[in-house]
Amino acid sequence: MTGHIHPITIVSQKIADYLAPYGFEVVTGPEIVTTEENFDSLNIPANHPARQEFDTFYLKDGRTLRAHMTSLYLRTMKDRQPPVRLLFPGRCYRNEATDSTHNMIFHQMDGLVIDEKTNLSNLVATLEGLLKELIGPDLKFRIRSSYFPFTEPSIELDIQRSGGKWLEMLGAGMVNPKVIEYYGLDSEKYQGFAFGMGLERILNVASGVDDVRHNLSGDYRYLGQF
Amino acid sequence: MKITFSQFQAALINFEWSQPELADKLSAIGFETEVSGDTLDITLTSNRKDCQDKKYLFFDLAGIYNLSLKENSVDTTTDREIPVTLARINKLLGTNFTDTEYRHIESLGFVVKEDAVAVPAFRVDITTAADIAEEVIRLHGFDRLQLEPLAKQSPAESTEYDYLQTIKFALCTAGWTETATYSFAAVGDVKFKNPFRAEEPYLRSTLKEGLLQTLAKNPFMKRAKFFELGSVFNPDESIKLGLIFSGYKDSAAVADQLSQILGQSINLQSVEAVAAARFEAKQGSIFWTEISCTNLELPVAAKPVAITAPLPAFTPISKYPPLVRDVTVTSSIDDCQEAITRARETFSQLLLAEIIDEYTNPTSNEQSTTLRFIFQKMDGSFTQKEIEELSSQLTSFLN
Repeated sequence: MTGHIHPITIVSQKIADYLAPYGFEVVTGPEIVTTEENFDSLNIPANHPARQEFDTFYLKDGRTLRAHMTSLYLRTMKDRQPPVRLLFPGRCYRNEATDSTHNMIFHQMDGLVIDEKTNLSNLVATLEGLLKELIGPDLKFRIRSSYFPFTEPSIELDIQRSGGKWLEMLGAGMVNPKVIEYYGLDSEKYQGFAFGMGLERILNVASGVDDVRHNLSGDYRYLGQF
Repeated sequence: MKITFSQFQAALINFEWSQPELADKLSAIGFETEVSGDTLDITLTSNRKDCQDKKYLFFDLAGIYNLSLKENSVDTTTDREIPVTLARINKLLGTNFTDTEYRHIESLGFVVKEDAVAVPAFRVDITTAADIAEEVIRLHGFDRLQLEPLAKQSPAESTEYDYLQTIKFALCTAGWTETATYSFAAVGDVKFKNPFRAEEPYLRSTLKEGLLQTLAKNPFMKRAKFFELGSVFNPDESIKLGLIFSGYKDSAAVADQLSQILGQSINLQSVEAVAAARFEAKQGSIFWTEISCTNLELPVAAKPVAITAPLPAFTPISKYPPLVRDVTVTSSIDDCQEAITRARETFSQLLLAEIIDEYTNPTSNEQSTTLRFIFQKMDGSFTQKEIEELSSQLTSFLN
């Protein structure tokens, strides 16, 4: 007799399992974060248009709910020195309309590597290996240039679906030197990569889950399938 | 930003792409593009404000794909230098670009100097060596990356994560199902400035309401055991474990089971009928508890959990009510597992079949097992006649 682990927990664990041999530590942290953690430390100053893209939930006391797991980087790096290989799974919040592909509460897994030599080629190799493990070995990938304030260069990684259409899976890039300097590190010496992926998107592609809202529905007909 | 295909044709000389090919080319270099009839709908990232003026977009496209502009009015006067070397760029990217390849970025208006790159004034987004590296890889394409996985290392300790995962998997093994519910509440200690719904202006201070909503979502399950491990805010944020169950006559036995799993005495509270009714939880005999996760002394060491099975294929859920049958049979677990496998092959409308309870009579040593079958119809509710037929078929199947 067994119960069921929530599918988001399963995906999170499978990612941690895949990356464990590479020495990644899985980090947990609060859902309420400061605007410094959510934005300032990630090269998103107060007047930056990118800040508006996150549809942030603000609390009465001025703090925010984390809009992305990247907001845990700063507090984590405060008591660590490179080399670091870190994973950040957790619940994120954005004040946006809900439909079958969006929910105001969703889950992400972020990864952060900082050392003296990790490069963009290491990033892409890591992500392609991870997605093949989660979704299937025969995936075809496409990388597009993109923009995130906290990475430079920034990329988005797409996979090819049946019929040839490309589907965006995640955003990633080399940690922006300004972010590395925000941690008090020498950006000439240290470099590394960061990525963030939506766990609901993984479930959609790998299992065919047709509505992200199932994940917070509590419906046993959903939970019981995993 | 919308630009017609004919505008691209008018701006560029040796331009031979179809509309979808052009959209792919633009997307690859950071201008995400959808084709709509004769129009290309281009999403500009917030760092490329310069391209709101089409001439800069055409200039970028021409420079990267070696096209010629019919008329070029872009002023490429440089106004600053960024210290950078080819070695630094190759180190960031993991590439082996040659000096000649590096200098191709001059087609975008940059001027390569010995230990620096001069930047055209309109490229206000370029401020670091990493920005220059991005221009180089944008120009040459990501297939130039020499993919190399990270070197393997000794596994790191993930103390709190492993601890929380250990709790989840121990409860799952004991028949509990993990749920996840919304974090917003009508009352609480931490208030939103911009709530999602005016009726829920607070962050939750307890997991109880979400757990009751989970029961209410499953009125077809008389016997149910759910848990949620998540943050509550009262007002400080902490991770709590909430558990709720219904339909078990011996709640003390459930409390004992939980105490053994969690390593501390568990005090269950009966959920009053009024509270259950407020969430439309129709089950009877509901108990719940909520405990702090910080100081549990688990009887087993927290250790990393590995999941080797691939993610299962999801079966869509009908919007119509399911038919649920909990059947107790005097068979061993192994026999029941075999029956479940056969049931999946036999009943096309079967969504879930699983063992939900087992019992060995201490006197007779006879084993009994309770199986749950959940059937669903995608195109309507089950009629009374269909329910009777399915129930009859299930009885015959199990006999």
